[in-house]
Formats: sequence, structure tokens, C-alpha cells
Amino acid sequence: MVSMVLKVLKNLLKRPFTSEYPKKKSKVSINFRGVIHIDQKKCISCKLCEVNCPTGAIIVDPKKKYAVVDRSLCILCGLCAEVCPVKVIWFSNDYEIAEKKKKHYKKQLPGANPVKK
Amino acid sequence: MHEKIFPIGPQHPSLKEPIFLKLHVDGSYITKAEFNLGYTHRGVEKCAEGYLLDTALHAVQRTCGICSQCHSMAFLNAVEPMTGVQVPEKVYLQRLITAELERIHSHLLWGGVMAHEIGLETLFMYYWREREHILDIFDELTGNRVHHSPDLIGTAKRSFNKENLQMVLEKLDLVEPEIKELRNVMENHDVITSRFKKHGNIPKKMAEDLDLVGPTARASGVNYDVRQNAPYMAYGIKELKVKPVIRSEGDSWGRTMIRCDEIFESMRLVRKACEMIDPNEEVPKKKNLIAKGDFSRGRTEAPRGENFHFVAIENNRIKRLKLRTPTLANVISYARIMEGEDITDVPVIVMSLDPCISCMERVAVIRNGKQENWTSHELFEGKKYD
Ligand code: SF4
Ligand code: SF4
Repeated sequence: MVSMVLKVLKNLLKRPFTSEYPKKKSKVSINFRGVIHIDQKKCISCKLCEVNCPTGAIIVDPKKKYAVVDRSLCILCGLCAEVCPVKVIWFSNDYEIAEKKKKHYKKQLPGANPVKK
Repeated sequence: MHEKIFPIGPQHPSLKEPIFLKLHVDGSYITKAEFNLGYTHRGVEKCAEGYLLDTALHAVQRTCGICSQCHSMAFLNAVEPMTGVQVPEKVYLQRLITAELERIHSHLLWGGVMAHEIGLETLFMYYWREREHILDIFDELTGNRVHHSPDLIGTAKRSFNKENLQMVLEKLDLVEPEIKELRNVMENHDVITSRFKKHGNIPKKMAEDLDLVGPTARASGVNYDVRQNAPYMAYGIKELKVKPVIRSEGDSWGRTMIRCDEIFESMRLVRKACEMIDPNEEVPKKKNLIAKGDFSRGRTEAPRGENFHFVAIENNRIKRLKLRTPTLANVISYARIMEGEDITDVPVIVMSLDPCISCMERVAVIRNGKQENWTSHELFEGKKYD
């Protein structure tokens, strides 16, 4: 019991570990896989990402001839980015990926400037 | 007094995951315990059928959020020898670092939940604060805090560089004294000792008969750890030999202390691996590999015990996948260890096995078209242990 009291007293003198989230954004590392982006202009529609995706989130649109992603299905595994021969898929560090409506997940995000990792 | 039936679950405040416990009580003493599974079947095995190997690897990692790297390693243990790929030592060491950090994170998470279960909310917060540092390491090393997915068959997605390894060592130095203090609190807290000692006994004979695995078996004196008995990947290297922690108590207390101690053994392994790794070496590029042979199996030691994968392959795609997660091996002891206990000790006993119900849900007992409960009588065939 004494050890617990000592531990609590010690922690009373420390600053809070948590942060006020919506006001203050927490930092993530540069390698963090957040939102998935595709640079659709450079896509060569080889379909490798479509065959490899475990959830069927990414498919090559037959009319537009480039890959499109449904972000509500994507599990952020990063396999598509590995297999893409021209490396046009990348993940930004943005972790606020929830949308208000399901159809918003289908909206394609602009993906031109991948961060150098 | 006559017997009453006291149901707990499938949804209950003291259970984090759905499992149904049907307790026959006399007053507040449990005379007989039954349990039932089958509330969260997710079908990873069926889902992976027909997948390409790399795709299946990313699917099986999703079996468990806490030990996803161990599932990935078990799958790779099965598939990599079939493809005949030469895996560099750096990749093995990277996998070991992730897996051992995962063990630390899992045991810290469990320590917190255990404290929460007996009403020590402050201790719960302390445990989870330390866990947060480990999650930061995952974020830096692999790109995801929970489902890390750092592996590809024969290689890894990224190579750990000098700053990464530096960060791992710094964070470990930061959390180690804190975890030591938390262990000290656990060991000397009167509430914890009085509620854990001599409750939920699993004698060594019973652990052996039921093939219990992981810390649960080691707390009953069974010397079995896959990392030691069948070393895989980097665990085969002489400097990284595992010295498993063995205790003889076999009660909730033993299972608690063993997990507190395993954290330090994992820290030793991570530090050693960080020393051995060459930060400048690059990992090889992803290759397209062809798997030869029909089937294979892989085992790893996950934080909760032995993890088993059976993989059958046809035309370079998965034909059949079978997983057995450690909790399924351990959970069958519930039917026996609750007998004779007070009903207030049930949450502690349930949590002391560190159950991970959702990743184990693959078995149901069905007789004459009706689902039945798992009972002590059937599981133990009337055997007696003391
Ligand atoms: S990250 Fe994974 S789940 Fe998401 S689109 Fe790419 S392959 Fe599919
Ligand atoms: S793998 Fe790359 S190039 Fe090929 S279809 Fe997908 S996004 Fe386009």
C-alpha cells in the first residue's frame, strides 16, 4: 500500500501526460501511415494494387483508367504502396481520417506531393 | 441453500470481450462453472482463402490487435521456407525487436486492465501511460501504432536506421524505472495480494494435461516457451537465447508476477538486438516468390502463449489457413479453476489468464443441431487435481 501512495505523491508533482486533444494536436512520426493518397495522373493502370489489396479497397476504375480507393475499406496496411511499380501511392501523416458520411470516403483526395521519407 | 444460476456475459461491465459464463452458485460460492464461446466469429481463415501470399500475410496480421506481429511471424515461419527465400539477419532482428516490444506492450496493457478489474483506476492509468511510450516506438519503427504490418515475405517494408534504434533505447531507458516501480506496487499492495494469492489454482499436472501455453503454463511450473524449445528466426542466435521466467505458484498471483517479470526479459532482448543490428544495411527489395510444396506450419510465442498457423498453398495462393491462438488453449481451464471460488473473485480469475476472446473465436460445441456450453465434466473427464 505504501508503495502506491508514494507513487501517487510522486505523480502529483509531475506535469500531466495527456494533452487537450482537439485544441492541441498530438505529433506523429514521419513514417506514420495516415490518409492514403494516389497520384492518379501518373497511374499506369497496371492493376497490381487491386490484385494485392486484402480488402478490395483499391480498384482501377474501368472508365477513367486509374486507381481509385474507398477509404472506408482500407485497413492502411501499405501493401499497395509496396507493389505499385511507379510508386504513385503514398500515405500522409494526417490521422484524422473519420468522415461524417459514408459516401465521403469515396471522394478521391489530391495526391500529387508525396512526403520524402 | 439451494443452487442458483448466475450468468455473466456475453455483455458485462467486467468483461472486455464477449464470453458467456454460466456459474452455478451456492450462496456466493461457485459449485460448477460452464462457459460458451461463439459471439464474435470473424472468419479470418475463410477470408484468406484464395489470397496471394503477401495479401494473406497482411490479412492474418489483423487477427489480433495486440499480437499482430506474432501472427505475422507465425505465417512467415510457415511460408518463407516453402519459397526458399534467403532472409538477411537484419530483417530477422527487426522482426524480433517488433515482437518483443509487442510483448512489453501487451503485458503493460494487461497489467492496466487487471488493475482496473479490481478497482485500482489510478494504477490502470499509470500502466497505460507507460504503454503509450511503446506505442510511440511502433509508430516510429513501423508506421502504425497497433496493426504494424512491417513485414513482406523475405524482407521488410523499411530498414531501421540509426535514429530509430536510438529512439528505442531512449524510450526503454525512460520506461524501465517506471515499470519497476509499478511491479513494486503490484507486489506489495495488500488489496492485490489478498485477492490474487491462492485463487484460481492451476496445478502443474493440470496445466500439462490441458496443454496450457504461455505465461499461464509457466506460472504453474511448466518449462515451455516456443522461443526456447523451438527457436525461430533471430531467437536462434546465441546472444538472443531466451531465459523464460518460470514460477511454481500456479495461482492468479503467479500469473501476475510472471508477466511483470517477462517485461524485463523482453527489454534485455530488445536492447541486445538493437546492439547487434547494422543501421546502415538496407533490407532487400520485394521479390515475386513462388511457393513450392503443398502445406506448411509455423509457430511463434505470442505474449499469451503459443501461436500456431497451418498454411496449405495451391498455385501460389492460399488454399486453406488454420490458426490456433494461445487463448483457446488456455481458456478451457476456466471450467475447472472457478469451482470452489467466491463469486467476487471471478473478474480476477478471468483476467489472470489474459484472455483475448475475439482472436480465438473459432470453436463451438454443437450437438444435435444445438449449441452447447463447455463444461468441466466433459473437458476433464472427471479427473481430480490438487
Ligand atoms: S493500404 Fe492496404 S487496404 Fe488500403 S488500399 Fe492499400 S492494400 Fe488496400
Ligand atoms: S499499382 Fe500503381 S500504377 Fe498500378 S494501377 Fe495501382 S496505382 Fe496505378
